[in-house]
Amino acid sequence: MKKVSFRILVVEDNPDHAQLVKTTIEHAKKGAYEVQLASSVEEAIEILDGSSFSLIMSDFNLPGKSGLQLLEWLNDKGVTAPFIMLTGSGDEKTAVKAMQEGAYNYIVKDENYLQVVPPIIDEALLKHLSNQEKENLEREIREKNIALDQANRKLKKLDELKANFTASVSHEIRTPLNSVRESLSLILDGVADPKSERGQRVLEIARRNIDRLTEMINDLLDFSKIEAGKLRIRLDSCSLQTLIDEVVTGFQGVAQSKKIKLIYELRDDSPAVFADAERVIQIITNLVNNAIKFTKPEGVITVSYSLTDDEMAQITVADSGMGIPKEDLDRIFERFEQSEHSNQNIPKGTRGTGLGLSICKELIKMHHGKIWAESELGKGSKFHFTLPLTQSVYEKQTS
Amino acid sequence: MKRKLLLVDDDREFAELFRKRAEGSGWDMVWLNDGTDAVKTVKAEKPDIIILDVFLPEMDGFTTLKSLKAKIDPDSKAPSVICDIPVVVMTGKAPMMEDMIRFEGAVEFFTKPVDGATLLKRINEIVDKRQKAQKS
Repeated sequence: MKKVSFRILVVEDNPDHAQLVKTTIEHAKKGAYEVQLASSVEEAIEILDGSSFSLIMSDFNLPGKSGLQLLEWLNDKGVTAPFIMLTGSGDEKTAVKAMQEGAYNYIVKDENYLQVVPPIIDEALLKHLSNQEKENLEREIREKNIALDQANRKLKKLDELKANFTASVSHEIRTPLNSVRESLSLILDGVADPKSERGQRVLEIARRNIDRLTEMINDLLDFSKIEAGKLRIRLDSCSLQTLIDEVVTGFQGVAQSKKIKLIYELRDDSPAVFADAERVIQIITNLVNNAIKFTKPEGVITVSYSLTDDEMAQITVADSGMGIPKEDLDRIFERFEQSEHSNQNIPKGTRGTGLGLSICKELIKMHHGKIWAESELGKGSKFHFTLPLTQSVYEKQTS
Repeated sequence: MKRKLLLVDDDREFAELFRKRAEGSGWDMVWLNDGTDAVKTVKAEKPDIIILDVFLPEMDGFTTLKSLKAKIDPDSKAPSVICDIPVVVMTGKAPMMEDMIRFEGAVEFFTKPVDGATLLKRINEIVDKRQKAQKS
């Protein structure tokens, strides 16, 4: 077993006394204590400069500086090792002063003092060690408290977001429900004739709102599945062009009614991607939907794709809309988040759940791809995401 | 004489649907999708009744309500000419809000989703009552 050695510095100018103390201490605990001697405060200071000690014991009466001055020096330097003062008998004042200055204890050099030296040293070291341990534990507790505080703050923020989310989703769901009900009331109450143009518009409103509701409910369901860890995708080889084509064709009507040009940049190649076709359609739909929502009439939306160096397909939906502030570019992919800035011109009831992009992010993560956005305020935004071309690429890519 | 109503609500589709109902019943309807210009519009259009949605984007409905019901016009410092026009408020389910709204002078409130037929019937009754009171 390795012997633990505590190094003790004894400052004593009388060489006989010094040797006696050294021998007494070293014999008391065989090998546990190692004593170094110094015959003056000045010598002690020199020694202390180069090495550290577990305990310092010093006589008060020394040539040059006194033991008390050594204690003061040690305090100045922030040395935490316990200090024991050796005083002459009848010298209570010094003893008191030493204690006041922070000495651990004092020993009166009477005839039997050598006997009490080892136990007092033992006690001093023991107390010091336990104090240190206490300090370490206290520091650990402090640090853990800070971490807890931070975690708490995060949870509170999440709670707030969730509460806002619940309130806004409630509003977002009631509004189209209300419109559907009103539309039907108008027909049933005879205010609008379903065969008339007026009646047709009323029924159109009902249908549009049912679609909106369906979208929101689907988002909420996906979100629940993600939260429960139960979202599943079925991966297979699919034609990327076909998927993009389906979405773009489906949106042409809406785009035209808003006087927005929706372009699909065709390429000569027709790459296959290893993905869940339905989910890829869902992602592109979400991105194009957003693009249309945030682009003014006469604007342009372009859907394109390219192949990257690491065998992924990168799909881009670019719009000429209002753009997204830099600080929001990462946030918008988080659950419950909608860009305040972007929502300014979107009436409540058409804002949706704010889950769409976070769901896209999760879906793409499950494909081992990435999704991100670039934007310039006032000029437009580009949303990119990547998909693996083949199963082996999918397996190579870390999620 | 045709009755006029001002609807302040950011739900475009509800406004469109309610307009069909109101205009089919002999009402003229003015629609604002936000409360910012409410006071100005009321002074200009002099509606018989105001329907106000409390959840509005720019100037929230509550502030709009206060400005419509203020007894002293903040711009002219003269007594308000519009504060007596009855205001019906539409809100979501919020019991605390209801007390505040009543306190601020709304004559009635409806919880969304609002049934258009009931709302129309109610505003007719409110304006009927007022006109009767004014005659006597």
